[in-house]
Amino acid sequence: MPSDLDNQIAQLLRCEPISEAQVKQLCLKAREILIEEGNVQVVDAPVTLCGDIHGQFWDMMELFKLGGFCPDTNYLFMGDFVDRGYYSVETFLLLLAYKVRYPDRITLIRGNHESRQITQVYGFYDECQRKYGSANVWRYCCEVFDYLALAAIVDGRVFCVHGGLSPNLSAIDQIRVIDRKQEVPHDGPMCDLLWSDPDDIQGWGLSPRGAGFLFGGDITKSFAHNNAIDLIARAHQLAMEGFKLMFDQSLVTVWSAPNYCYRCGNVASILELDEHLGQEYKVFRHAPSDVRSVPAKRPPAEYFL
Amino acid sequence: MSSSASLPPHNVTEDDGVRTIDVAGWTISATTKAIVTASESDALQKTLGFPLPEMTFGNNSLVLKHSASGWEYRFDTHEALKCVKNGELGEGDGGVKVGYADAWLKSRTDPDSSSPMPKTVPTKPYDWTYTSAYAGHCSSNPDIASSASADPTNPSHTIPLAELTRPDPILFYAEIPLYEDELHDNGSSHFVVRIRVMPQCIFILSRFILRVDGVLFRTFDTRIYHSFVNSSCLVKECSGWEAPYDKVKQFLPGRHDLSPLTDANFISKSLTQLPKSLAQGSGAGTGWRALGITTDIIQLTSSSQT
Amino acid sequence: MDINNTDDIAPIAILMDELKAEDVQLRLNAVHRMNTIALALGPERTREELVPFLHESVEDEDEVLLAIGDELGKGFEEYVGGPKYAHVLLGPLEVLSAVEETLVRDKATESITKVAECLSQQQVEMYYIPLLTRLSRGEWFTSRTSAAALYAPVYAKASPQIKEEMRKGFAVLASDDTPMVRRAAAKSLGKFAETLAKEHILSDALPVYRKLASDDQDSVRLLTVEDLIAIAKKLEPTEVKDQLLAQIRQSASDKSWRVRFMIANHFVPLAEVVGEYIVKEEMVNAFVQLLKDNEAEVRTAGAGQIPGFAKLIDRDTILAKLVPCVRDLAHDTSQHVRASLANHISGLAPLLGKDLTVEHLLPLFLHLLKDDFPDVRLNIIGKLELVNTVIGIERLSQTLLPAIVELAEDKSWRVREAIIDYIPLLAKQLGRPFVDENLRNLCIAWLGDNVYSIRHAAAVNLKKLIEVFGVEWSRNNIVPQVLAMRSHPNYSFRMTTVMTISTIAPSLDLETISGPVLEVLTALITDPIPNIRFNVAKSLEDLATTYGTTPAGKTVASERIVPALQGLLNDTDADVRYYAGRALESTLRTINA
Repeated sequence: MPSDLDNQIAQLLRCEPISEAQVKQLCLKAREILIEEGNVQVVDAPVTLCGDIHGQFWDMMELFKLGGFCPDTNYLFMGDFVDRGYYSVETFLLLLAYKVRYPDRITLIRGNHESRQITQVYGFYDECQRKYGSANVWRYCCEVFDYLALAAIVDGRVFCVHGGLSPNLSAIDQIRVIDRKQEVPHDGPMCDLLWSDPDDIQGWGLSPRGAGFLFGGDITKSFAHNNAIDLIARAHQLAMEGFKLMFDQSLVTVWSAPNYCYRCGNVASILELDEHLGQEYKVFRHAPSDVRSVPAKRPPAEYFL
Repeated sequence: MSSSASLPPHNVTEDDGVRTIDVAGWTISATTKAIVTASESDALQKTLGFPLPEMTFGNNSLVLKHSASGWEYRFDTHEALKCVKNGELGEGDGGVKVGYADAWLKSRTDPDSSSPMPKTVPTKPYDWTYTSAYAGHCSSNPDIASSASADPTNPSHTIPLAELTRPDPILFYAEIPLYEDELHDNGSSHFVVRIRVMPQCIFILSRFILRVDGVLFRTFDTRIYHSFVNSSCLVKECSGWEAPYDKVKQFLPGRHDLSPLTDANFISKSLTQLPKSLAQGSGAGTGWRALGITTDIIQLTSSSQT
Repeated sequence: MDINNTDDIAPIAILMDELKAEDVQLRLNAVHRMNTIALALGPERTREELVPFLHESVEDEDEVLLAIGDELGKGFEEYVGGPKYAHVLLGPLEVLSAVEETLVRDKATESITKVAECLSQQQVEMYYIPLLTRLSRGEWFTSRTSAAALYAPVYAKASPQIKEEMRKGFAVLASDDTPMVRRAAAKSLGKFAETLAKEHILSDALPVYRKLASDDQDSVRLLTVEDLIAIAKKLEPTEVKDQLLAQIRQSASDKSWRVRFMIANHFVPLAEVVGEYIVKEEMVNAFVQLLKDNEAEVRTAGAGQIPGFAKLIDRDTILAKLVPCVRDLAHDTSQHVRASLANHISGLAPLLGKDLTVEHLLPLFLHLLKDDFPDVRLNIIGKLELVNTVIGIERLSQTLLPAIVELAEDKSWRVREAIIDYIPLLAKQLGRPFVDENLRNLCIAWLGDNVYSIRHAAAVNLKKLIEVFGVEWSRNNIVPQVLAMRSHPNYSFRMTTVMTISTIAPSLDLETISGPVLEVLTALITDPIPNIRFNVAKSLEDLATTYGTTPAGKTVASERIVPALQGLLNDTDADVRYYAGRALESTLRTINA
């Protein structure tokens, strides 16, 4: 019923959570829609690409005020909707409600935070527990996470993914055959797509952390060449200026959480791809303090020892 | 009012992220700005030689200046990061890998692996946990002050907790993050300096805190105490703590909610509740050299006395 | 809840079981349906079974306790047999008001307060007062903390003798050893004082207040600012002077900035109750001191009180004392102080009058309009209307127009938005020639802004301008420029055309609609971008429902809008089909009405 859903969208746009029963319904419908989508969702331009949001609801409202609201503007969110910010619940449910109401106007792909394990540490679990008094909402949302697409491709020319490339995936078609409906694994190609990072090296590198890959400019360019794409757009890493182009503009990191964690002071950006795939980066700042109810700018004095 | 302390004359000014207090012959400035811009980041990365933490507050600092002697002590991001090991980690550096590193490597190197390891190039070795046993540094002529180990029997050589727990008015308070990194969602690494100026003293807590999920917790605290009553000396206490992840996790109040593990107070409290032989002895078995406590007395040779 | 639904009542045993369920969620649900359970049990069994059961539930999770406390305060006396039995609810609430979790305690005391409203004097003396005594003497500070808030609600209902005991009881709480209890007393003293007779203000409330206002802990002292106001309200100006002046002085210069902040933040309400003499002799200087405070937070709070306080003093004092401070604050090093000042400074204009505003305030407006911090600029623009009424639009526009034109291209879109919001007012007062010459191009240019909110505000602005200057004017000066963007290669400009048409349509006329406007919309119906097509459908719906009520309008709607929408019903895009269908339905409904 569109009208119920329209009411829920209106409610969520005011940053008011919907009821647990409504979340359950919404998540069920979302799964029905998402299960039909491929691992690499095919998207038409024009579309606006967005990076990490991390529960910064009021800053996402700034994003919409800049780029236009759904459905008038088409959106592609490249994961990490939840954790760290104070409004992961409202943020994710609004995006999900948009997805169910306007499946062709918004695309959500999975970030490494759309995972049971990570959300237990970084806040989303805790927030659900606090706002609903139980972990049910968290559980429903985690089930949806497992159905999110792993990547998207815009007009066949712009490849979008949360983290980056995998040494085991040289062709986009290889991504299409992954069985994605599972918790984000700790290893393997699916893990790489959500976790890897570009780096100023040639070839593949091992992360100094002991797990995970770094990929260089040559890898990026040959992936782009082999798959006939112009640009790889990804999120996953904070970019102080909102976006960061690398490797002769063949790769961009888009970051959409301004004043990350409410204290970094960074700006954020979105990447608008027009109908001719023309690129326009639009930079925005965090919501003014009167509209975002977050702790005051200066920490209260504390009798630390 | 019955509160005992009378306030010393002081003046607080604020300008574009810099807060300064002049009190009892000291000028203390806390600078808190946004994280570094892309160009600042490139420049800093070049001098340090390794990738910067995700949130590097490169322009932040805390500076204490003693007017009479000219002695100056400083905490800043650049120096804190210079204490991070650049290059291959060796004995005492306390190097670790993420919790699932072995499993990950095995999944890639097993003969029947479905996703075998590609040919890789060496990447820059450095301490990705950004562990730093930085305790601030003297930024004036070091000869103005002398430093010696504290005498454990001398009560003025300790940090008086009773005085510091008294709810006297706080004249000046600042919290200055130096850097922060989420270790790619494998934990977190934080370096933050806090200061409070009280009617009768200055107290600083500089704290590095590290969590590597499933592996360990580690902290390095530097506390500096200076009483306006005994105006020529400061007490500086440095302490390093470490414990395996599960030893801290056992202090969690609830089973499913892991979020206290992201709370610095919870972590440092848990570490101090563990036996000393563990948290300041064997640690998490990394051999990190900074475990234990040292207390020093910094004696200022103020010009009026020389 | 539908109480006639037997399905809800029949399984009452199940509900009772749910109250005891293992699963917290089940227990919570059951608590929220407690009134159903009570209704089914009837008043007597509710009193004898349900209430005692709740009484024993204190070991439950805090969430459940919170819910119980909440439900009992929502007119639950209705289910125990009406007001004459309301006191039975005090039992479980008393237990809840002594638990460790603050939220639960606060909710319980709130509900006790509500229950107290329907208690008779006899019930108060038999049940409530003993409860109050127990809580006030509780061993744990938690119950004593809760007790503080419970004096005020029933004081008026008690006999003189009990009243006296209550005043003494409250005084004991105010000298409790635990700061939390003293804090609670400080928080409740104001409300309690409001219920006291004048003589008891002097004999009881004042000593308690003085004690709390000199507490060791600043967290206690800062809560006494509101008590001070409540007490002063009950006294004559001369009594305030004799009894409270020392305290006012002390709080305004407290060594803790948090106390000074509270005073600064409550300065106007305080000044309003202390009487003219103290305002003149004391408050002016105290206020000046707060505006020059060391702490930016205090100055920020003080800046917010400037116009309110200025209303209480004469013009000469404003000029001599406040205006120099205002000048300093406009150059304050803290951006938050400047932003607060910018938000309130225009409130001085009506008090100073035209000439003094021009002389003293205009230069400060200009200075603040150029502030580096966007909030400061924004706050000034947002309040210009107040200045406008004092010095007249012409004066204001002459002085400020250059600054406004500059801000029209400000890099902060919120500043641009504030300027746009201000344009219709300027237009109304300055007239058409001025707008055509100075502002119209700017207004059109905003439609091409790269921020969606600005494009939207620009469309709304055009609608308002058309309302001011008429359709005739718009035909040459607005409509062609709006429609011109329809062939822009970037879809977002074409989208702006469609959106602007929807916005301004109600202010146009049928001639313009059926002419150039419909021509453009029907052309855009084949736009390659689905977002344009479904917005055309929405726009057509707006036009049809606005103009389809007259015979001429019905003809246009049925001959041009209906076929256009029908063409979209088989679109390849689901959203286009949806909006076209909806638009067609409401168009036909309008035509046939």
